[in-house]
Amino acid sequence: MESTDLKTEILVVGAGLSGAISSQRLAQAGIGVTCLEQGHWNALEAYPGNKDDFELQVTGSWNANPNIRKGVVDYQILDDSSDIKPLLYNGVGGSTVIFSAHWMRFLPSDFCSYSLDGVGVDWPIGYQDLEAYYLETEFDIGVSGIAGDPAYPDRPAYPMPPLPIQPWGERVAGAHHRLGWHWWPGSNAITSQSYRGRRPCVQRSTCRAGCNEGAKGSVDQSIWPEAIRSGAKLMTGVRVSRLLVDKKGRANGALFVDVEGRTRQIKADVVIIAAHAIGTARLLLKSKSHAWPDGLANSSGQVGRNLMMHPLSRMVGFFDEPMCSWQGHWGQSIYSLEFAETRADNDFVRGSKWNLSPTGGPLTAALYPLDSAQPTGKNLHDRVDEWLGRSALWGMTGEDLPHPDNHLTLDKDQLDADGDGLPRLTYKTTENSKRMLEFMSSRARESLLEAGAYKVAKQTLASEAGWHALGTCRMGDDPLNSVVDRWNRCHDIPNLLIVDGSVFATSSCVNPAATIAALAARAVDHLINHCQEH
Amino acid sequence: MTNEKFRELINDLARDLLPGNGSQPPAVDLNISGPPLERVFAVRPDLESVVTMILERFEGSGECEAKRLIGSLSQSELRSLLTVLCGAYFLLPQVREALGYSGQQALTLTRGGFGAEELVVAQMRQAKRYRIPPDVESVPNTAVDPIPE
Repeated sequence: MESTDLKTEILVVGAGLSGAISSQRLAQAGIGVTCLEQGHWNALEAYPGNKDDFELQVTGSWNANPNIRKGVVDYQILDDSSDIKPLLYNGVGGSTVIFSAHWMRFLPSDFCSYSLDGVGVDWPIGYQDLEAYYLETEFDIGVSGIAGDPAYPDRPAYPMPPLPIQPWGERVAGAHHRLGWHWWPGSNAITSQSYRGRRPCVQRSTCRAGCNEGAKGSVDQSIWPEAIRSGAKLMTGVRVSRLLVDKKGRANGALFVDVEGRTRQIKADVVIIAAHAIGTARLLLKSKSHAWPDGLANSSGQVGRNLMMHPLSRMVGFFDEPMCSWQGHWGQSIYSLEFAETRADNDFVRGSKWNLSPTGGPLTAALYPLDSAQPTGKNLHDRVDEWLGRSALWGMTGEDLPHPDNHLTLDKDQLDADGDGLPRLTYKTTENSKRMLEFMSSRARESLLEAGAYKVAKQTLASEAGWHALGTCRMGDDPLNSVVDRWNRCHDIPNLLIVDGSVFATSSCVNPAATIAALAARAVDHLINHCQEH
Repeated sequence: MTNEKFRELINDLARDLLPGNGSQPPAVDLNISGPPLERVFAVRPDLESVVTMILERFEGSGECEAKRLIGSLSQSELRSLLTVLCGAYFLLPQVREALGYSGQQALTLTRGGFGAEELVVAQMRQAKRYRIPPDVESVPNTAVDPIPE
């Protein structure tokens, strides 16, 4: 190993959503911050959205599943024991590069599922603790939407007005109006007008593999430029292999492999991990030592446990009028929280968030995995005729409750480049989730038929849908059953913070990005205001 | 397997998998096993070996055996094969024209509102529907048996 004098006040591991938010705030406060990112920074032109083979590219080198994508900066995740496959991106921007940009605050009840419904755990914080940070980060990221949703507490206006809800959104909105069901124009981290030097959305519907316009608020576009202008240092193509702890038990840096393949060391006063719920738990488990035989900061045994993946069902509605539904933002046209809360008459607890989206081009139409068998021959052509431009899709995301047996471990036999076990996911969809998704599918069918669909088609449980891995280092007040405290500090090592989705105590049914951003902003503001304690 | 043999077998399978339906043309009429296929393998080089392995099982069986072979494929093999064939087919300008599909286009956002505004106003008039949490501080934050079965 090369001796090194790399030194920073605060080290951030991972340049995705929470790493970017953290780095930006620290730099703006005048604190020295260095972020290490194993992937690279894509130029806008590198994104495939404006290429005619876009749909083909997202089956391969732009696939959201790293085990399929197999990029040089991706690490293999053993997922044969997981009902849901992990989807994530390694690079500047992290998984915001491939996310669909649905930007949803948690509901107030999401922070207290135990006290309200007797399931999960209560968070040590509530909606009111994050409210100001939700708002600040909506402006940082650039979110479009409209205030006034009765499913939420009152809030100020969004930074931008909502994107068009599209013809299919209008149809379904009308249906929900008639059914007396909730719906609301989608809130998306996508610009609906010029915003802080970024162009407005062009409705190309290719958000799931970067945005050529920079309209999507992936943090490579929305946060990192400002963070770097403010003094943050970002090193790309460097992979952290171990976190370091001094003799007093305080985090003091990391070992990493640089672009030339050399193992190097960086020292820091405070370490912030922002490496995704899979990457963060993996790194802590890899960093085991004599002092930490079960993994760093894991005296509770909770590191890697309580993995939540947000089981997802889909319902496609087929309409007899052309709606050009291959266009439009791939983010949500509208959403519904009609069935988001626990209802006494259901045979499951908690609920689901629905988002309505466009349905892609002909290759998507031909190969979309539905419950019915993959069509071939004339049936395949007919499906494309029916689907292309004439369909809309409800995605129903179910709240996933934490369970210790759903977890990430390091495999004993299959090793990574450092000689450590590859991360292995063990995840089973619970009976509660299955009942919930069955109910949601039936209601979504009603919704689309009321909207005028002449038929619907279902995907009961989407396996390639693990965008929302959460909970592997959960937050709590009790060091015996949680990994970080209410300020995202590890109970075991207070100058080691975790700011990504791994700290989620429960998962809500809404998309987690807004809450990841707000939690990171809150944690870092606390860190800045209490520097001496660290 | 020679390139020529490879292409013949691809055409045999394409006759069955993408025969056309009146609005969409048959894939074999569009020389799908030629440059269109090469384009797909340039984007998905990983699929070339998968498809080659499938075709090796098919080699010598003859056109009438295409259905049987397709029926014998695993779900994942069929998906790989279809990704290649459909990937090539739906990139072709003739097919896109037949479908009325011009690709994912950059459009200028309309400035006339987001749509269904009057229904949004009706939603705004609805009673608040979120649940008020209890006083979190008074409730122990303890792990419980989390999943009701």
